[in-house]
Amino acid sequence: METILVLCAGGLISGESALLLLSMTYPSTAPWSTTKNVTLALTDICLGPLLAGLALFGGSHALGWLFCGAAGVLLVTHSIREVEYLAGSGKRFAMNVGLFVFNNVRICLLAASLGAFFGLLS
Amino acid sequence: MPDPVTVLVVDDEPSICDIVQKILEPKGYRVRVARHGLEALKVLAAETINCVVADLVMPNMDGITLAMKLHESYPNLPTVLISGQVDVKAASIQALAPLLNSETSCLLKKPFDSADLLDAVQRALSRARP
Repeated sequence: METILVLCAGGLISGESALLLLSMTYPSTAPWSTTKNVTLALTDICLGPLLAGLALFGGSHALGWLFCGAAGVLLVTHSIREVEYLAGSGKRFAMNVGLFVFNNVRICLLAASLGAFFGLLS
Repeated sequence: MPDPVTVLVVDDEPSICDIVQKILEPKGYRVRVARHGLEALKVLAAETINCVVADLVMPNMDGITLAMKLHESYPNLPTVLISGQVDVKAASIQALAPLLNSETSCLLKKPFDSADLLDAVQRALSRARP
């Protein structure tokens, strides 16, 4: 259950950000294409698979804390997008309602993954 | 030989400043860059600027406030305001309406290409220098 949860979170996070990066940064003058948004997307693309990989193969205590750190960073970066959207920031990552809803789904999955890590769901 | 037309590009996003610079400089424009509205006002006070290309969403002083200040202090200065799809809210459009109705200002929507930008700058300049 825990592994499936983390695989969903990692896959969704890296997959959506990869799609955004491919579709929203062309042309280079596109409104989404800012240094901040690209950095956030790259963070997702790097940390999403790391989460999934650690859930599948990381058994040791140290790797567990690495998982916890990666999920924590992702929670912070997703919270930034949440605040941006709610504040109506002009160059926000979640440009529309769909991306905002998706961001919430990802936050829930991340929180559930962290909860599972700490044994709160067992 | 006449002095080149100097365009002040105001955007907090370095990549957009680079793109605008790369489009305008080969066409003979001299480009100055400012990262936000306050910096733009300092440049305007210190140098002769013929046209301003400003993003609407910036830290410290956004493009709308900058445009209003330019309209007050430099009413004949051609201004091209760059906007993303989510940048312009209804209230902002209302605030911008008097500026955009003026002869020297125009709005350029992101994403734009080199032809769009050159056209907007040339239109703004020609309106200011009939």
